Amino acid sequence: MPDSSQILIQLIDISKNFGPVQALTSVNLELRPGEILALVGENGAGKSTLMKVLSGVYPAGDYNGVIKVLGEKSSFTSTADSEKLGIALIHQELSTFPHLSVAENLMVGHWPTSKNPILNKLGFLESEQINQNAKTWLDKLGADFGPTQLMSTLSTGQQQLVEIAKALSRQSKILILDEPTSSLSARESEKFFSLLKELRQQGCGLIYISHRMEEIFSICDRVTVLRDGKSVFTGEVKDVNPALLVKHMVGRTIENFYPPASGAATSVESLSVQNFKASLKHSNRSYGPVNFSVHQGEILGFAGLLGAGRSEILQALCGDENYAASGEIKLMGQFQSLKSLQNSFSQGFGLVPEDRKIQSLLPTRTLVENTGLLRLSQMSKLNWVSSKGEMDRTKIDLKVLNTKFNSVDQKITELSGGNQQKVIFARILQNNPRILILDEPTRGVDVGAKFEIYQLMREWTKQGKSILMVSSDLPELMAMSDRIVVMSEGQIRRELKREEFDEEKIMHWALARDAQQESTR
Amino acid sequence: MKQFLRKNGAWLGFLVLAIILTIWTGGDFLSPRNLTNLIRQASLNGILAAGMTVIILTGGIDLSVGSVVALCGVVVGLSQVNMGLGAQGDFGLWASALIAVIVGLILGLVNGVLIATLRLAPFVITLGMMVIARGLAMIFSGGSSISPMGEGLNTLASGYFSETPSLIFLVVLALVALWLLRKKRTSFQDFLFPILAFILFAQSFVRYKGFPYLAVFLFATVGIVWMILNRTVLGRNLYAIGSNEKGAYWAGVSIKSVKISAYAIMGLLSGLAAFLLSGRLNGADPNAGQLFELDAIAAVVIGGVSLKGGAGSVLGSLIGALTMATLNNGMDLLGVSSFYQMVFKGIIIILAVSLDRSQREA
Repeated sequence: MPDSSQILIQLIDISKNFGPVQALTSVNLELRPGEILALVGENGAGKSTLMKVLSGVYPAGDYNGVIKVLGEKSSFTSTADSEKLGIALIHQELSTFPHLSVAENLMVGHWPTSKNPILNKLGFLESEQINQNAKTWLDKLGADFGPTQLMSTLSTGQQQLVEIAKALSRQSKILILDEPTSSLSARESEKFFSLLKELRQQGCGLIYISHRMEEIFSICDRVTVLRDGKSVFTGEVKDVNPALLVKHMVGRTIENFYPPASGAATSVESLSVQNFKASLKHSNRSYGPVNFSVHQGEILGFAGLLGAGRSEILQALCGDENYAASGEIKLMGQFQSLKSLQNSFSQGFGLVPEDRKIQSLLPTRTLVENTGLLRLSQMSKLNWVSSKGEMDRTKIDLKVLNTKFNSVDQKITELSGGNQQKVIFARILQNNPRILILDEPTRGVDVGAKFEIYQLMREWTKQGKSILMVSSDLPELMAMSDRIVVMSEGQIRRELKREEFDEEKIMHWALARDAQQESTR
Repeated sequence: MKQFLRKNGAWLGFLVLAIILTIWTGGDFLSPRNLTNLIRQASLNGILAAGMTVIILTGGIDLSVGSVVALCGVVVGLSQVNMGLGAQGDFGLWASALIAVIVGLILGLVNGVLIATLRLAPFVITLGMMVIARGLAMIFSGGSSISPMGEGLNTLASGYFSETPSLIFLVVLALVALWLLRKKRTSFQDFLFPILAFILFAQSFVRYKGFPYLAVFLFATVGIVWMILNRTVLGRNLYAIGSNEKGAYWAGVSIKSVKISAYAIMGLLSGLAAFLLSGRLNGADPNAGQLFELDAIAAVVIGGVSLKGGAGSVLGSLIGALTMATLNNGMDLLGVSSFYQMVFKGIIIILAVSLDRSQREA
């Protein structure tokens, strides 16, 4: 145990609540110099919240507990404060400025100001210095691109490098990396890991948030596990194994966590998609052609990395007007052309989109309005809405899904993530869909609600509904699906039956490139 | 209690303003004659504010209102004078009204279609329409005002229902109010102040000359817009789009047609306001309606409707329009010069909105 002034960061008894929801309860964590600490936990376990506390996104006073940096008690009122002490948070979704140059992205907020004292006062910049400074840092990290390139021309991996260079240029000794490899290719990841190891060598402390076991075991030194907002385990990586970690994360053995396959799948084909292609309008991105089918009572899983085109294909299938789509769609044996969302919803499709906050919630409206939206928008605009009827109906539909709420007149943003998701399910179910497309249905949902959602999905299959499920959580996808199709680069690479499910096999196909596919077939 | 304050902030503000003015003017403010005038002053802005509410709820804005009012007014003038409808009694009156409303509706549809299909900012499209409509008003009128309007239109804009119909009207409205209140305490919260205000104004109408025709148009407009917003699918969709357009899209709401409807409603009400305005002015002026859109936006914002869209009520906008009229009226009573009035009005707008904001965040 090093003495306390040696420890880069100590979080002691951190608690934080959002209204009635307790997000963190007495969390403890410490980060030593020259180590990579893995922070793991299920979605909604509180990892992001904890890191926001640490980086000053939630200012002191918004939480309880003590943050010590290099042994000194610190309280941040903003991210600028934590930055000064050398803490940099690199977000999962990079917050870059695509229309600015790499150098400008790197130096933003820390512009080299003019050396001329008068011009300096007037806010002039030393423009040459911007590119020079940036180049120094890019060279140190071995970047293969120049400081004047536009940010939008870089790959995600390269953009990530810029973010890290930005952090290092601000003398950050403590880097928080939130799922940094989620959108990197295998090769980019390898490069990225050697960079991290180098930073460790230099005495930086890294907090590494990831869901990927193999990454944790290959590069991390210690691991802290969060579950339901509590730190339940901390230890050396070499002393644990993946199964043990998962057990800590989930809090029970996984066999119980996923309800068993129901055997509800029938031989009746409810949806068959042939030669389906979709291209994003006003861009050169296109996906497909793909072929797949799903049976009544069956769950078809879609595996793949971020950007593999899973969500895009399914959204285009529903008639998203942003895509030009072609191909044959058969619904219960009948050819259908799904020209618009309205059209496909009326044909029995139901879609729970990937990003609840952006694509589903009406944040300023009540549960009644959020729930009734889809059913009502299928009607004529001048249709009369009975306010009492809507309220009664909403109450029943939400209770069926075991949603916790005070009143149907409360705003949806007052509910927890899991209950919000149930409201969205209720919205979709009111239209009585035969084919449910669930895109990351358990994202941002706590463990308890996840379990309920799995059981609901089983129940729906027993009612004869077909489910197309997209999930980046591979264990979840494997446990729930009857079949899985693996996608990469907009193509379906492989279809696997339940008995063929295997994490490594799926990852192999998810990483498949065009050339590779040709040679292995 | 907190929720009550939040929901009724604009009404309480109006109440405070009214009490101050009553004391300051030694009761003159509350006289039946003054309150009747107040409503008449508020009516055109109130009608436009009702339309503007619909648009702002979707997160949009319409800057073309003043010019559209001028253009529709010119059309009313042409129909009354050049087409001779002014001399044709009731038929001519309602034919002019229909023409004004249709022209307004078409202009609103053009706004809506451009905004929805080109996916351009409402600010830009309606700014363009503001200039175009003003130009058309000048072209059609030859740049000078058209008068006089027919007898019927003048009466409509300045006349009153006599006492007996006024009383019948009141009783009917009271029954409607009771029907609305019959069930729950929550709607009691929503309607308490509107009903109190209505009683205050109604008693002064009855004690003065009767129900002004203008007030009937105002209350009917607000009532119908309230019904659309709260009791129809269109209304739900309007709120949904303003709250989260992508969310509404993925729930199958047809964004285009809902947006087009919003601007069409605004255009239609601009036509109605233009019709009434040309009666009140006894003429159609291509320069009329300057800054009407800003008065309407101010009323909506004072009434607590969020400029980001998705939250607020048309009853709030009604009280916003009443507050603006009260300010004008009160300062007139106190003999404040119109130059100073503008300054005070601006201050009140900023004050009202910042108070509303701080309350919302608390």
